[in-house]
Amino acid sequence: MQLDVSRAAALCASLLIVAILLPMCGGSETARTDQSRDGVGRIIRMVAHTYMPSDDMEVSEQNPFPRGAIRVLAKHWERQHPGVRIEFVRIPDQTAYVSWVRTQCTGGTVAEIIFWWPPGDELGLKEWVIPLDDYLDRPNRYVSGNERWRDLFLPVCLNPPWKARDGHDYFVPVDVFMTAVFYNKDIFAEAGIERLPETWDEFIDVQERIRQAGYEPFWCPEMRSHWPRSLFGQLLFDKEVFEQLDVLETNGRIEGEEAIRGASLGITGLHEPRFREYLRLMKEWSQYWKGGPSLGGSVESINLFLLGKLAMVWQGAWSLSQMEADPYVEFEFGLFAFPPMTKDTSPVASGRKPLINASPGTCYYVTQSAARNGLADLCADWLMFLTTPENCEELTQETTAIKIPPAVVGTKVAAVLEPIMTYDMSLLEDLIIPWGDGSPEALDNCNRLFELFLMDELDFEETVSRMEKWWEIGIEEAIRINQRLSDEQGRWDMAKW
Amino acid sequence: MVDAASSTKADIVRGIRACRFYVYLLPTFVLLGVFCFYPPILGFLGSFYEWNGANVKIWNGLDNFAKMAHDKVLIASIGNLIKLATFTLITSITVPLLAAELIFNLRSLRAKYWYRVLLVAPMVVPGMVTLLLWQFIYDPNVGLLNAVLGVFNVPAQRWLNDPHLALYCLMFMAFPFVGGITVLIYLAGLNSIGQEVFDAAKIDGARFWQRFFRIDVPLVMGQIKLLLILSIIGVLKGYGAQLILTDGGPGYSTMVPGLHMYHQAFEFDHLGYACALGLALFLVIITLTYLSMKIRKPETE
Repeated sequence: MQLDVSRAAALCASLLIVAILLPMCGGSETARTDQSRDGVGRIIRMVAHTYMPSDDMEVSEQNPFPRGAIRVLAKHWERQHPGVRIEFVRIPDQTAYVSWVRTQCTGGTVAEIIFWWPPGDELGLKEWVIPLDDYLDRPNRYVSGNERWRDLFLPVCLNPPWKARDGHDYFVPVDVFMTAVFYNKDIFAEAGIERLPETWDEFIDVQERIRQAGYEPFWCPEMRSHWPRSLFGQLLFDKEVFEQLDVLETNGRIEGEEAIRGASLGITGLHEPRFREYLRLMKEWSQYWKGGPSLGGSVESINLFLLGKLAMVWQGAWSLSQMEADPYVEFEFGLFAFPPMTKDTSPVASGRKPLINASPGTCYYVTQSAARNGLADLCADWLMFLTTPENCEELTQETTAIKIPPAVVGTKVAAVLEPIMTYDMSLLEDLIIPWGDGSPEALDNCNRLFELFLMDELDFEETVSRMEKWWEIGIEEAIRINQRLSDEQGRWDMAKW
Repeated sequence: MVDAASSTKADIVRGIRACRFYVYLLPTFVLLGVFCFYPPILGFLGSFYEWNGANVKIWNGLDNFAKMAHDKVLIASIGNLIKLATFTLITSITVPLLAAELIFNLRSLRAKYWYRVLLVAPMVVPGMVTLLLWQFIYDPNVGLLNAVLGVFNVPAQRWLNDPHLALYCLMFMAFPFVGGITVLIYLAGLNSIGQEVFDAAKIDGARFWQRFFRIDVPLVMGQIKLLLILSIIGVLKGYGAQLILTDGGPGYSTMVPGLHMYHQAFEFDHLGYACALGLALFLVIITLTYLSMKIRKPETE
């Protein structure tokens, strides 16, 4: 018995030693890379996210939109770079992606190229990713005549609004998120609408004709979101107002401090004729919304549209996937952009064609792993290869997959996307109609009062007067809370206002 | 000397034995203190501060309570609460009593048993499921209610999206207003009335309603008081349905003080004011509970 115990103890000790030694034999990440620097086997790991190649390219009910373009492109690139291989990393779980990336970055094991949302302030601040400014200012060697890589991208994807707070560019965009009006072509034909609306008046007229044809024209937009305020911000506000606001940090976006400054100085506010026009025009439009105005969500709107019960719906272009994948859709649908508003509709109309909620979509970041392993140049080169117009087309417009608006200028797009690619992509100013800025309580109450106004429960003057009070409360609260902060915490220097 | 020593030892042992039971109770009271009493105390103290939950608390005395007087959302929510409470109290007290009477008067014991089971069975359905079911029933586009109205060519309504209907829709969600536990409490009360009382009433020629009002109701007054208190507490602090289905809207049409308190605490970061609202609600509940306790004592007490 004594012997057995000794043997068991010896066995356990041996197993422990083996367990400790085995990982050491495997070598560290750095060691592996050092070795790879000298010879073959250099690996760029990439979290391709949207463009992750499918395991199976056969189209089936379970696999309706397989993707493989990035794998093909990687093979091409690898042939030009012997000894380097691109490995696509499958993320463990979509919902846990953020935590997963943070953990991997903290542990130093993150892939060389990852997907993240723009502008990547958090990743940049923690130095988990490297600035790409220098690379973006160099020519993309895969595009003849190109002087700066950054010139290849739509301005809306890679310009001041999307620079990180420290002024760096940390990402390379591949596609662009934007919203559009999806419309049922069959209903349009039945209502005798032969061409898409080109002005706001025509847009309202189209809805009237659809109603007269016995169909529901539109669905209430996401009232709690900034979508409608962003749309009308572009329809009504011109560049001059934007320039009056974007003064403290002229970076192409209205920061919180600038919004409060603008409101407290009276640059924006409820006295503004454009704000009043917003209320009036939204009320006019709301009579065509199925079920009337509501602060509720819009998930149902897609379902009703897919069922053919709604003529138009305002959705992100990303909803194409759901619509194209739906086997029960029995009608043809198309996309169009919101038309501009002319002075005939409103004396304060800007006349601009609104580009709403456009932002860089799938953005790739080069991480510290790449820098540490001496792969940063190769990563940038691979991303350059990926973002030539031809390769971007192959990637975003893949035959078997969902079509996504590309971020690269000159990329040919599928016919379904053509109407929305006519936006003026150089538009950088995104001025959202001000709305109880500064305090969540003021914002919430403005939303509720607006809802009551659209429902005819409050008249115009009462709505404005009650919103005005909340507006003042919001500004006062924002300033009060901010002024309690230290300079390090970001206290505003109101003397500069 | 020996006797004194042994006596002291016995006292110590007795003392330890006596203390033992307090020690057994200690974990329960520690947990109660930490999770049930400490938070309300913090809430009470917090109601005298301006605090957003993150930064330093700033003492503002009774300002949070003074703010309530000018808070138009709170005032609107109190109006809604009065309507909601009146309806809820009436339906939650009367309808289950009638249901209990019907079951109590069944002759078949088997039928009584099965009715009791049927009443209690829905309690296994989570409240959230019930709420979502009602959300579907009230849906203005694909909802059951509008579909039924459509059959009779009645125009579709917006139900929860209509500021004039939304509150009534929430009231009606308790339909058929017969809570399982409530009926069981009433049945227990009715069962506790001696058979000789009913026999005497029968001999005296009392009809059903006479017996109901003159014997049953006075003798289950204890249960009525209990349910009244529970209903008052429930309706005053409840805001689950509003939070899930309407968020207090459209506008402020279904806003109640509980939801307003929740918004202040977790959406607007006004934790100090939310604490003051919570304290005010607590005082109202305590007062109403005390008043309902003052209803005349039942004959069974």
